[in-house]
Amino acid sequence: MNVMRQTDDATATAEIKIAAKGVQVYYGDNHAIKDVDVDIADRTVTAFIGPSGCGKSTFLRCLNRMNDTIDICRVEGKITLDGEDIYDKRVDPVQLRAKVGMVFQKPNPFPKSIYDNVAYGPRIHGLARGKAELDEIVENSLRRAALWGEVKDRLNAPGTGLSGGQQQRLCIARAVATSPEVLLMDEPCSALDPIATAQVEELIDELRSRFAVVIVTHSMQQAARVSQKTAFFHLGNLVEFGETGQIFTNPRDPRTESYITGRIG
Amino acid sequence: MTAKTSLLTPDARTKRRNAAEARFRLYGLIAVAVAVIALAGLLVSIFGNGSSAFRQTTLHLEIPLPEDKLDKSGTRDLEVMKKVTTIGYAKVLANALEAQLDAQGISVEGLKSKDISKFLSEEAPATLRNQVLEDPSLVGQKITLELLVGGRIDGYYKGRVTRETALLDKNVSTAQLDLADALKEMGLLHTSFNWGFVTAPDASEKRPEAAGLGVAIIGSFYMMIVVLALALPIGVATAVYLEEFAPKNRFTDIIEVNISNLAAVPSIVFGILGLAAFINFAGLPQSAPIVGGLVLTLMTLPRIIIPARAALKAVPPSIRAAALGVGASKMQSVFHHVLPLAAPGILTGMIIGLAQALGETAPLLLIGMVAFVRDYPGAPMEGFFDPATALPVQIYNWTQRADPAFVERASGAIIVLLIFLLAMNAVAILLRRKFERRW
Amino acid sequence: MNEQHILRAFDRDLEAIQAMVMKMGGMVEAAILDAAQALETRDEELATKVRAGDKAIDALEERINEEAARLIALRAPAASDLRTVLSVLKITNSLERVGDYAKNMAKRSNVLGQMTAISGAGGSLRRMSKAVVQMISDALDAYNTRDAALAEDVRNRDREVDQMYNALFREFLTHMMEDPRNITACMHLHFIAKNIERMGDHATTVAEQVIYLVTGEMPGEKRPKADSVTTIGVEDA
Repeated sequence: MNVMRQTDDATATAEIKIAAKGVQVYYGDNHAIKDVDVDIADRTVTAFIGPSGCGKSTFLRCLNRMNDTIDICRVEGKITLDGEDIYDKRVDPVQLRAKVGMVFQKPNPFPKSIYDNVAYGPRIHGLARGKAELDEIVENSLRRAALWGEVKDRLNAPGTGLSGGQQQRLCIARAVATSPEVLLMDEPCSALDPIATAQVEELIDELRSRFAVVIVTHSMQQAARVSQKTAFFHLGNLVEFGETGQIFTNPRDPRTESYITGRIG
Repeated sequence: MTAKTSLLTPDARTKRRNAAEARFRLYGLIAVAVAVIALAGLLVSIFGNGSSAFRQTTLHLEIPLPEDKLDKSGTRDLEVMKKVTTIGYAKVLANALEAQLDAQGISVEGLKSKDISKFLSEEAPATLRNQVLEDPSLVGQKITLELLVGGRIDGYYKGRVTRETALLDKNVSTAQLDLADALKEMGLLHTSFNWGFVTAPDASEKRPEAAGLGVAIIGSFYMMIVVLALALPIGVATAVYLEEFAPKNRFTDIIEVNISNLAAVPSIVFGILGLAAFINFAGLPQSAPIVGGLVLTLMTLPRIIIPARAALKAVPPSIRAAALGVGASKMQSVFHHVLPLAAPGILTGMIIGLAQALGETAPLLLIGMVAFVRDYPGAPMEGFFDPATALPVQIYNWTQRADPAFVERASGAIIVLLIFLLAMNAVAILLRRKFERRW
Repeated sequence: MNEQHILRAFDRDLEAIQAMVMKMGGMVEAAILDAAQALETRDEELATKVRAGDKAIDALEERINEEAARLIALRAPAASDLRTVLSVLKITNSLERVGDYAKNMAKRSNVLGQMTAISGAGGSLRRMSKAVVQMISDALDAYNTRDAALAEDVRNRDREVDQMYNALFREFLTHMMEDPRNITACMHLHFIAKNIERMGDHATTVAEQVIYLVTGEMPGEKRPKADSVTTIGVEDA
């Protein structure tokens, strides 16, 4: 409890990694995100919660411009990463996504070997100068994803042959391998059993020492367990953003209250 | 609810439902049975008619090559020797056969010398002449050859010609059949596997026993190469572009609708297009595999694009998202991840498209591949521009001919075509098995 | 939060546990009033009844604690629901303490029955008890209606109880100075007064829980205090 308190205090002083100001997202005529301001602190887990269709995933995808792949999606407002506008015309989204990694809802390893899954990012970004260096990156990434011990003897086995929880950790290792600065996670545990979920949550807490982590989750308990900051989205609005402990014991907004206590709201 | 019902006795509703299900299964079985019977009938008829095309009766004959007849000048000068036509060689053969009969002491009642000369195929003198012209030193010596017998004698051993039909047929006499039986007894006449059928070129109407599929197989093979070389890259590129890169707007919608429609256009229309575009406008030669290949490429393209797009669409979007998520560009995600996963589907579609092209007749008729071609096309690349014919066209051709021996040949050719198609489908299945979805 | 939970069994559980708290509150209030009456009227029978009744209060506290633990384990309450359960635990704890004080009061009134009465003490203590019972009753009402203003009022009324206690303290001091034979009875009476004053403090705790429940924040330490007995000896001496 004391340790927790201390780290929480540390987040208050952590510098801002991503700052979003007045973000609006439109899907065709649908105004999906309405004027959202959020500051994502470095070395902190920030959770986005809210009912289905509230825009939390949409907003998450704005942070690494995954929305670019959808033709009808339009983003307005300003999102900066370390002070640089990521929607600037000069920014190549591919370069951005190497800095802002992403882990998806369903574990989606490539149908390749475990090694190739992790090595793919470093390969296409030219992060390793030789086989030895690449081996090192793969090992470090798998270690960081708490998967090394389980797979070190079968790096050439297909990644799709792992269990669901292992696959998700493999995806995290894959995202970590490109040395990102921010890790976005879109409901990373929704397809996992409680044990695998706990392992991934433990991993997220570990990752916090190196990255800013943003996690979208349907499970309020998960948000409560892993995050230091929580943002509650409702109907495209950011209703409340604050320290996780405060959101879960004493939310300021009645809509947040209704949602986290499981009332019709 | 009313009275309590027992689960042990089915109620009226359940009985009706079960009866309906049983009836439906029965209809299904009947439909399958009809299909199986039809297929079996087709195969039995084709194999019944056609399997004999793969066997051919030949005569083992010792032939003295008299110099006075074949090279009067004695100089072995090819130009001079060429003046002796097949008629001259036919006489040599007739004499040789008569001599052999005398030597073996075979005498057949009512056998005229005309019967003896007609006993052998009209192809036999040509075979002998070619052999002699190739090696003039043979003249004056004695050689032994396996020579084709006439189509009717061949038919006699395949059951197509009997003594009753021979009486009505002025092309064959019972005396010839007696002679054949006698030769058979001596072991001179025997039936063996007919390599000529798959290697020899087509032959004229008078000598079905010599007709083969060699030119047609080469022609079809060349066309398939052209189709593969053009349709695979163009088709896959189109499918990838439309599925992965093209913006979704009215223009691409129109293209999509048109591709679907093109797949349904009758193939003969492509033949007319080929005639107009490639032969009349571009001036390519008629009957050439290159033109056939181009026409079949046009016809096959939509049939490749549609399954290729379906295969690309079947790749889960999560794979694309994963690739983009680690910072791959659009093209990297397509070429590193999506295309390899779609490859089995694309290849299967490709092979089925090729198989359809292989069996296509109508457009080839229009671009002149129906011509009677006896010369093998050359090696690639010039070979693509030489006249050739194609397997289905050859079948169509042979069914037009009068001699019943050609019915056998046509059925045999269908068997060859079916073997090719089965082989291609087997490859398609193997590919699908090998690259089974791994996500 | 007047809206219902999507899972209505959660609402039923919460209502049931709060009803038990109300019931416990009623039992505690009755115990105080009975104890005060037994003291004033020297009714030993009533005092014995109060002492026996404390067992039922303790049992109810046990049940409420179990229910609250079950609710936390099964329903994982958050925000106002969490605060409700937490306040239930604290309020129950306070009420149980108040019940113990009432029992102690009854015990002492049995002892006092054997001694000469101190004139006016019984009436004063009963008035003080009534004030405290009113505080507890109002605090529980505030809890029931989520009325932070009423709770704040209860909090402020603790000052009056403290003043009553101060007055009694001086009165008992005077009695003891006048006649040392009164010392035993006065000591008992003083402890009773002190216990009632503590009851008032617990009523304040309940009121504070109500404020926490409604606002999400504990009221600051600006609580009005009038308990000056700690300094009485000093200024007199």
